[in-house]
Amino acid sequence: MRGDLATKWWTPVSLRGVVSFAWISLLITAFMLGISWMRGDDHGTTLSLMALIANTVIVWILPEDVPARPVPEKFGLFLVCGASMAILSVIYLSHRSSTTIGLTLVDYWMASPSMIVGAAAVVAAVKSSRWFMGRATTSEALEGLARSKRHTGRITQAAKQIVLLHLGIFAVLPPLWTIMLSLSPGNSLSMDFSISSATLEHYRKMWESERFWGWLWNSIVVSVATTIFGLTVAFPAAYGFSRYRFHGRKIGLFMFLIVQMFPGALILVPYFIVMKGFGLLNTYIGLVIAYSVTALPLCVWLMKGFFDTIPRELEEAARVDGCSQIQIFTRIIFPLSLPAVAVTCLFSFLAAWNEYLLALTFLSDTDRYTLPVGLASMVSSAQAGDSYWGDFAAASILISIPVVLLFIMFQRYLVDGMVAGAVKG
Amino acid sequence: MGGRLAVTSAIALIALLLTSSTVTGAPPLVTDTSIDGDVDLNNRVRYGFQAVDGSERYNIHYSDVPFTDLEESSYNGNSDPGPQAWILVSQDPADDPTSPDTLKFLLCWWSMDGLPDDLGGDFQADPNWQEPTFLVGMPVVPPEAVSVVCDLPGVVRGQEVYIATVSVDADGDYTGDGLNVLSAITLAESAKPPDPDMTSVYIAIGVIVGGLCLTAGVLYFLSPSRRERGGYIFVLPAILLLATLTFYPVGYGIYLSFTDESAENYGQGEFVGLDNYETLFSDERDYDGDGDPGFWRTFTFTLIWTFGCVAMHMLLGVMFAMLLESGIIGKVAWRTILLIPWAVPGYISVIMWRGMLNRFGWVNGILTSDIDYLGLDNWAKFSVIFVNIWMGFSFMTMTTSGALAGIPKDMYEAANIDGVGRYHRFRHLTLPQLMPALVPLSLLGMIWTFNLFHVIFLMTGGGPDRFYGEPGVTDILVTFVYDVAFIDGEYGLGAAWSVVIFLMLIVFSTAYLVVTKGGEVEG
Repeated sequence: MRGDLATKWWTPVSLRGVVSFAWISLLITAFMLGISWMRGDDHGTTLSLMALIANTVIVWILPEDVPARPVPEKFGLFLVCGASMAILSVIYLSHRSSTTIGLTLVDYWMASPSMIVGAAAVVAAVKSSRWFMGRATTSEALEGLARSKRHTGRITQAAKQIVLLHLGIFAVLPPLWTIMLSLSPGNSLSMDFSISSATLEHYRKMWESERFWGWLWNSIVVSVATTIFGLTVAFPAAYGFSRYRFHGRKIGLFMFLIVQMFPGALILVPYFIVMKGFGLLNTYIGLVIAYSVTALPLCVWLMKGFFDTIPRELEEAARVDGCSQIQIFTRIIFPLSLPAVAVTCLFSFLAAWNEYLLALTFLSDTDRYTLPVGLASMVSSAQAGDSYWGDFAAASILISIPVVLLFIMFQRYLVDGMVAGAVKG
Repeated sequence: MGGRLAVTSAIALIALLLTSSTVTGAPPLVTDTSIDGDVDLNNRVRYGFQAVDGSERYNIHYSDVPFTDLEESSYNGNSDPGPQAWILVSQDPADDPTSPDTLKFLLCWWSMDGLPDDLGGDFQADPNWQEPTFLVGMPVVPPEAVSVVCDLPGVVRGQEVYIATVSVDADGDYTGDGLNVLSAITLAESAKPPDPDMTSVYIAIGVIVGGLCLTAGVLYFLSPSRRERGGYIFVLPAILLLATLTFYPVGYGIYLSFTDESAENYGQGEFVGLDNYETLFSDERDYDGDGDPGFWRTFTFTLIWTFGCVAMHMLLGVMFAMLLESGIIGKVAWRTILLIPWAVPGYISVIMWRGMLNRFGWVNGILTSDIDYLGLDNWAKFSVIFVNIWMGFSFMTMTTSGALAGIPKDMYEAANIDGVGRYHRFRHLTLPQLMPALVPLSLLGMIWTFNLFHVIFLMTGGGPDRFYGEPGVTDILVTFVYDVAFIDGEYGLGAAWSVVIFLMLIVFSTAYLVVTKGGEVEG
């Protein structure tokens, strides 16, 4: 009886592997097909197309959920497809003759999943055939069952880690490229980076560049002023909306909500004309006012949400004890709401720090540029010769590190705040 | 164009050449310069030069810092080369019918004679001087032209400007002949129209502020309870700011869309009714002759862009969040890595990708392909969407994984015992639990993506361009508004585009408000 159960539930470890990895190899083979096509490599295109078809067939005939039907019924087809996947990818590798290590690595990376999954499929098909023909013994099944039990978790975990590894590389590739670019000599895009030729010249140049420090200073002034000004207005408003019930309260709150959906483009033209009329183009004040108003709705909503969680009884008790409204504000509400204030500050600061469109429209004087406009101007020239990619990369890294650290530290708050309806910066 | 020239020539010639230096041995290219005030926003420098044999093109570099030396590289590599102008020389110049007058930004004349005695003269009326034809906005003069006079735009008044003119031969090399650098300063009184009368704006803002203060005051004194009173005072500053700096500009923008306000008649726009809206949809500006001035093409791509990006964000976000929450080793580390695309400032990410996708960039290098990702129509569309997917997926992953973590685990245990398959577990257990978070998030994502300016602007600038004055292939509505308003200087038309965009956004916004029940205003 025990043996029967074992044969019924036995799934070869190799099949577990195929189940976990077939999708990964399918995606990578599809990628290989795309790359070969883009390279204009006809042999590669044909080979990877065939491998892709074989892989698709395998995914197609995989048992739907492994414990329910332990092995594929069409094990013959399974065998053929697995074998062709493995063979095709080997042919692909031998056909490619890449010159550099990097390119060879890319080729191996693209071909290996299909090779491994193909081989695993062959093994799985052989084992399944024994099962189907009734030649699997009870002891073999028991042993297989035990092995499955030992390895299944690991295989699934490995598959997940491999997917995450790809995802992680995808996520960090551009920053990584920028770091390499910032360390390569020369200012052109066609860098050839190597550890031995790495140089800090771009960092030094940026560090000594007055213009860069000027832009940084402009950004700091504008962002800090925006934060302070915005908060000064938003704090009492949020308190008022949270604590008082007055006529027009709902309409007011609703206004603060819909304003966030106004397109920047709609405000841009009139803003520009009014700012120009008041002579506020190329000034800090113009930008600070514009940014504060943009950030205001979110600040109000965020802090109102927080004030709602502070029990009203606290204030009433204080009032009974003879505190004035101002004392209540400074002694009770403000200290209690410091976390919310901090998050709100972070939001308006980052929004102003990363803003591009308004700054681009309002600032035409290079000395008044904020960092986004300034950095973009370093590489935006129409002619390639006017671009400073290396310097740009170094400056970007210098700017990004503190911002990325802030995001990592405060990710929870930032995510929640964004969901509350932020303006994405 | 005629009217504009008449005004230009009517302005007196004020300042003259300050310094001039030529390369030893080479014949002087520039023989005379003068500075001229212009009716444009910018002042222009007018100068003439003698044509050089074998030239294919004249490059005119100008800068507010001196050129270091006269090597070819120093023109391109100057730290701030400023705007540049090109004059083409061609045997058979084809007049470009697609280039509207307003875009011939470089005014230029050529002659078979020598240089004129008086640069301030009216070249338009002089029979010895002819206007060149234009090819996509660039003047083209015939090879038999002996001298050329042009008005360089974009010179700031009172600031010394250095001008270098070089002739380029058919191979694209600098001929060396006629390398010439001079500096000049324009002292001309700016001929642009006087600053507009802002009284109406002051009055409008004053009325808004006064009205709101009055209302708040009246309500304050009428309100019977203390729980009501203070609210008016606390909320008033924020409401004032919002009213004057958001609602008023929006209203002003709507008004602008009915006027012909532009950079040229700034502050003097007149009411033109629905003309701007007609221009938007009519074929009056249909330069490529496809029966559409670009609106529907841009609109279609905006929708593809919005839905494509948001759909991929949601799909990837849910997939990766489920992966993150499925009991993997090193969850915190992976989470932090996946956060990076969201954390890096958006404009930096976009420029990084632009560098990587450059034809001579890293992507082509590593794939050993040769594809101009940002220069070919379909590749450019694909690239901007791809880059935005990269920038947005991690935020969706973060939010979705937060929502996933909130699903009670015992539901899955029950499902496991009942032997529910993987697909059904997702379809009937996970998805219904996620929906309340995903639906408002995707609508919000659509509003953001629809309004997203910097990705496309910094990646392709809306290009590859089709025709001057028409949106580029990857332009979405908001990026094209910028072009209309700030490159072409047509504020009224830009405002009309904005209003149309606003009307479209109302659809998304209404959906969002309905789904979130007015953002829980009750709260």
